[in-house]
Amino acid sequence: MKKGIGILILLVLGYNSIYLEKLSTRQQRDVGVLDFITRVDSILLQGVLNNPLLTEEQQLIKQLNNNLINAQKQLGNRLGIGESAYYLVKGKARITSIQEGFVQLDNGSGLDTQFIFGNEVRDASRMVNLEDFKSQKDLNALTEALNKRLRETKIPKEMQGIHVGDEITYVGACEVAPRDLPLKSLTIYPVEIKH
Amino acid sequence: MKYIIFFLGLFLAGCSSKESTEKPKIAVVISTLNNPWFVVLGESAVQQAEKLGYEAKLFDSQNNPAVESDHFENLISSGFDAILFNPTDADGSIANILKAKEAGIPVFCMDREVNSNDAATSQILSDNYTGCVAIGVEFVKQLHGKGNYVEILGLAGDNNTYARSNGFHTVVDKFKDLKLLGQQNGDFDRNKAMEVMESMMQANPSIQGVFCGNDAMALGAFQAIQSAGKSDQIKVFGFDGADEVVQKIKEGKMVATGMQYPKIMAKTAAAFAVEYFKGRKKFPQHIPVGVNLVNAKTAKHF
Repeated sequence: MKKGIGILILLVLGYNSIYLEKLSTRQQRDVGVLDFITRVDSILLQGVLNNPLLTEEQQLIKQLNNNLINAQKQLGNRLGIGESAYYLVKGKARITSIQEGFVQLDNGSGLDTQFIFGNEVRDASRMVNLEDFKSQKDLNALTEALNKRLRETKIPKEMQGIHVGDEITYVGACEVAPRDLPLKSLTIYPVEIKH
Repeated sequence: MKYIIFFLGLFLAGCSSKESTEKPKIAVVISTLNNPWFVVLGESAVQQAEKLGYEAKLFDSQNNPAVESDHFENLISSGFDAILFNPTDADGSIANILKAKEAGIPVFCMDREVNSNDAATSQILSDNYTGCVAIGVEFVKQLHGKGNYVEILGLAGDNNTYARSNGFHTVVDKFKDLKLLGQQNGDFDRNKAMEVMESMMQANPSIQGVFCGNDAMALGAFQAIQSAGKSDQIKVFGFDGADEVVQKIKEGKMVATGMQYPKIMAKTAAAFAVEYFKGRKKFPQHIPVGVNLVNAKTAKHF
């Protein structure tokens, strides 16, 4: 009798521990997730870190102040319609303070490591096209996947061991609108920070 | 006989000449003209179409899908050549767009999205999600990442309602010390939002912030907060960029809103219709139109 109950329990546990799913359904779901991971990787690597449009910070500020329309055409990008554009920027500076995730630099600019939620990196990379997305929701999901990687994984890891007074190099993206001119400094959403 | 044939020829030539010179007609169908924001959208679309040299007519769907459906049937049979459309319902309006499509009439959606990727010729929409991400960031900064708050949502079933709420929560939900005490629909209506805010304040006396899915509701919530004498305690955030709200932000009475651009959406939709008449047939399915954050620092620009 005891043996029978034991076998019954094993059967119940065994049944509940296995979940069968069609391979095609599984593949379809995984491709979606993998596709996002691959896209985020290529945006960060090709679209930002190896992008020839990546401009040294002081040079970018100078170009924006001199001729915004030209700078926008040559270096900026924006998906859809709007007055501002997004730019890739790199620099080297010393940290003067770190407060609530905002890294203040001695050149006047700052790296916002806490609020990486916007379209800065996505649009500045020029790696995303509106035609690739059937709905706004899909486009927003990619944006959040990209920002989440930077905000929750990559940047916190790179910030470990970095302190006030350290000299760092950085790569990131920023937004500039006509009303921001004349520019003296930038708020940059970082993609890479190195000590 | 020769004369008869000659005059008949002249008559027919006259007829065909009139047809070929007749300019295409553009219909502007708006969800409701009971809301000033949509009046701006509708009137701007008509003005833009007329400015480009086309005859344009404005239709009010009175937030009623049945009225909207009647409009579509009428304007298809009346020979309109393009529709600049602000839908009443993300799902319910698709059938109307498909009817027009079947009749060979392009439909350009403005501001409100429909849940179909191939019904409308193109959808020109405010980037509600990103705009509310910016509001969310401002909300966290203003409340220093902690406190109790409530949310007044727009209309159930409207995509903008969810896009705005999702954008806001993408940011705010990452801050665990910000606690959502209540979330109710205010239907984008000032009076309803005022009532909702009154009841939420009674149920939760410790509210420190309220995010409203549009400025009409933000003004209703502000009215309730002011009447309860809690203006110093509760920070109000809206979305739309209404003049009254921008003024209140300048006066320090409200905190932030997202500036939308109905005129740009209308202008783009009208320009697309004209490009369609001239032969362009491929348009991006979605065109996001940027939304600017209006707060104490930026309000002077608006």
